[in-house]
Amino acid sequence: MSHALVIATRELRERSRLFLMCAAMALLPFLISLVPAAKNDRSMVIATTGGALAAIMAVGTAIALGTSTIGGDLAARRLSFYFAKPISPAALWSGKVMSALLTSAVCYAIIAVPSVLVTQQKWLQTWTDPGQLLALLAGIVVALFFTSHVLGTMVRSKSALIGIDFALAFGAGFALFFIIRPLLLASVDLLKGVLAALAAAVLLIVAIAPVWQLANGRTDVRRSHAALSRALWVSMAVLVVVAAAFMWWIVSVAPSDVTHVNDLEQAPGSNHFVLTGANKYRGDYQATFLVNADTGRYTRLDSPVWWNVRYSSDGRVAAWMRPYTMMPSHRLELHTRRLDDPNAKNVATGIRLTGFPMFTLSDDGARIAIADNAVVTVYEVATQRLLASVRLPFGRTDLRGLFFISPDIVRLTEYKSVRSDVPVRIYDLITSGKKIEQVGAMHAQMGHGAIAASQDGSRLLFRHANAIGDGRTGAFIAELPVQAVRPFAMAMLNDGRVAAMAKAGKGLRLHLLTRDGQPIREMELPVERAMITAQIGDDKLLINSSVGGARRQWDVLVVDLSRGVVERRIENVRGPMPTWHDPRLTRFEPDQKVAGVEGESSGEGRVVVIDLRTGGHSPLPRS
Amino acid sequence: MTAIRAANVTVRYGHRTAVEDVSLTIPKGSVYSLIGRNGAGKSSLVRCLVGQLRPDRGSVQVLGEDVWHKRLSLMDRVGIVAEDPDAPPEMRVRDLAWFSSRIYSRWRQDAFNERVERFRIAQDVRFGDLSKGQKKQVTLALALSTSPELLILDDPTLGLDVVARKSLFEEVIAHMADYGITVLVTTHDLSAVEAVADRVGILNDGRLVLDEEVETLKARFRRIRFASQAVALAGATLVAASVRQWGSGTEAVVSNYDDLAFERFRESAKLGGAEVSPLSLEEIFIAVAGEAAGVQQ
Repeated sequence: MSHALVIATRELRERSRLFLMCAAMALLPFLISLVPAAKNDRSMVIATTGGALAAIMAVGTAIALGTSTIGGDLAARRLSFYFAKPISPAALWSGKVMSALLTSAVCYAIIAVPSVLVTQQKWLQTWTDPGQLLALLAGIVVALFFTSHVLGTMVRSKSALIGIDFALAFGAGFALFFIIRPLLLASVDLLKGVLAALAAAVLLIVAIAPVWQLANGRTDVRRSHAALSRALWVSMAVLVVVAAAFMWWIVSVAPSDVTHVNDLEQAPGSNHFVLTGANKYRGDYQATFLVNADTGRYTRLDSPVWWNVRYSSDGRVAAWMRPYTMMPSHRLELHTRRLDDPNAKNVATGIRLTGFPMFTLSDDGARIAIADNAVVTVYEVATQRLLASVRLPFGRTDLRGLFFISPDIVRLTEYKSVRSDVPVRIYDLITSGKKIEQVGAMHAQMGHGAIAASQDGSRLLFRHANAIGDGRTGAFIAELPVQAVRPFAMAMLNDGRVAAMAKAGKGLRLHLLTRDGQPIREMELPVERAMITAQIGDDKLLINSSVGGARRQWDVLVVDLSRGVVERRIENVRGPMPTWHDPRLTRFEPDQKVAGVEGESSGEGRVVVIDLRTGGHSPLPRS
Repeated sequence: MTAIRAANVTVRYGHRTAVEDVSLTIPKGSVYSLIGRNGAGKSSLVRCLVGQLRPDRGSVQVLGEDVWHKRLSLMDRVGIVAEDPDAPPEMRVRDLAWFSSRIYSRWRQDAFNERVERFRIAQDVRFGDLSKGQKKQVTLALALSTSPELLILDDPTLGLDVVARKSLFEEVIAHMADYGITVLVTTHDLSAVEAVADRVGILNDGRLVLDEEVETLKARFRRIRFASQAVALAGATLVAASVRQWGSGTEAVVSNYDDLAFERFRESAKLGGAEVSPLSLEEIFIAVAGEAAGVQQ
């Protein structure tokens, strides 16, 4: 028999009184079931109290034995009984651990088994998924035993070292929290794996450190504490370093490493884009970057960017929201960055919000309007000066659209629900007058992203209603003569013209309509599905088209509206995504570079840069 | 061959030094008695010698091996009786024997049964229910039944009655010595140890102030009484370990007595009635440790 088993056997023999006490406790559920209040369902009472008592006893025993099994012997100066014998520290610790955990298990079994045998099915109904519960209880018992041992040793030594222990514990906890914080914010599945691995590593440390404690501290209570602390904190330091290195590797993914693009938002009139994506070797962690497509230089944004990024129409300013709290929350702070200055830095503006804000930049990026908690506030971006703050005459959740039609006026659209024939109201917030007024109203079928607008806001396209209205009054102007295949297969160009894609045989036909809905031109598109992403200059459209099923192949089409031809088809490349939070179509300049994703049909893609002037595309430069 | 060799052992507890720079050698087969006042550092030194406490400085070899690193194998060859009985109080005497039988490779159950029977201790009694003396006896029986090559007894007489104490020294320790087993004993029972110890070490305030064979020690320490007031012993090259008034005369304990020096002293001091008497180990200890402490106080 190994020495560990000898020690375990000896300790278990001593616990006969505890087991007798458990046997007496096993009768309690049956006695409780006899009280009149339990007469309706005695089986349930027995199963509930039996299971609860057994669990409490198992946990209590683990804590009691954890604090006393070595700590008690040390304090009573009885550990020399073992050290005067040819017993190794590992055998001593494993023997003590075996006996303690077995004691907890036996206590649980003695109390629970009679209740299980009597109630049978009722037990299974009361304690649903008992296997999982038992595994959870076993995990708690093991963790509490080892943790209690550590705390018991530290407290019993009555050494000043305990202050350092708590400081280091706090430091280690804080360090680990900061290490996993990027995953906490990104709310990714990888977090579960990392947390499980960290918990297992910490458990392993507190399970093994006592061997070092016994080997080096032996019979002296303070030296034992010192040895335990040394083992514990050196191991924890190694764990922190390993975790930090792992997390550094996870979050150090560069834009060119991204193989699964989740979001790609191109700034209008600028080579900058915001990319959110994952690398196939780094779990589902989504990294976010603000990238210059021309140079490949990028700045890392905390991931994820909440509520997406906003660009000013001139492409000079980007703005986004980030939680400013340690933990993920809806307490957000506005961040901005100038895109026209290569030396610009990310600016935390100090403008803080709670809830689910909707925000938009003015065309020149000088102002920002934020709707938060039924209040719309306009700030000057450079100075964070508050220009106007006006309460909405309706609930925040009914606000559907928000955009500057001039530096002084913010246009808002409101409707209550996503269904047919709902009243739609249009408001203007006059910043200089610090007031909000309703300027228009109409009834139409509404839905997600139902309203598109011309750049100046003078025209509105009601996608679900297939109609054009006046941008200010909402007055009906024309019903479109074309039925688009899907609401998002149509767009309003900056000047108010409408492009709509309708089914035509196996492909699509693109119809170009005037501001009043009159046909101008139509052209065949040899594609199954398509989505208008942006306009290029005044007369071209950038369209993401696709064919195939789950792993569809994306092609970028550049359509020349004035000539009615597909000017360019860039195969196996998906262009930037359309902007959903601004009703106005994004405008790219003809000589601009935009980002895309190549090769997604193979299961993983890579970010490429498309030169709109030539139609050529190349991998994103590494900076 | 040496059973124990300690070199420059120092033990500190925080700012307090319990053992300071102690070096000692105990030959195999000898009986070594380590004596000292309470708090002199005996137990700390013993804990270092059995590998339970790592010295802050210095090293300890037991049976030729480093005791800190080779404790596991060494403890199979060393029997230990700790100062405070350390067996779990819930264990019955029988269980203690069972436990030891599973741990020690050279366990002798018959020897254990015989010794416990001689001590008249029932084996089904819990260790915690035994008297202090019985606990010592059980611990001693356990240690002796492991067939040790080295027996370390840390204050083994504590709690023992006079008969048991006499039995321990005259039968057990002497018996062990006869079989060539090395014995290290710390005790306050100096009269008993005097009869069995080959060598003695005196710890005072953590320092080993004396480490010598008992016979040599006793030969060089003498009490000298003379009728006059204190006179210089140094002229006769006698070193006084202690000097005190004795009636109207003086009593000195010298630590380097020899007949020739004494005669020179008597002649130079013109003392007619000086008398010389031998000292017991206890008296030597008091002269060395007690007086030192007294002076300090």
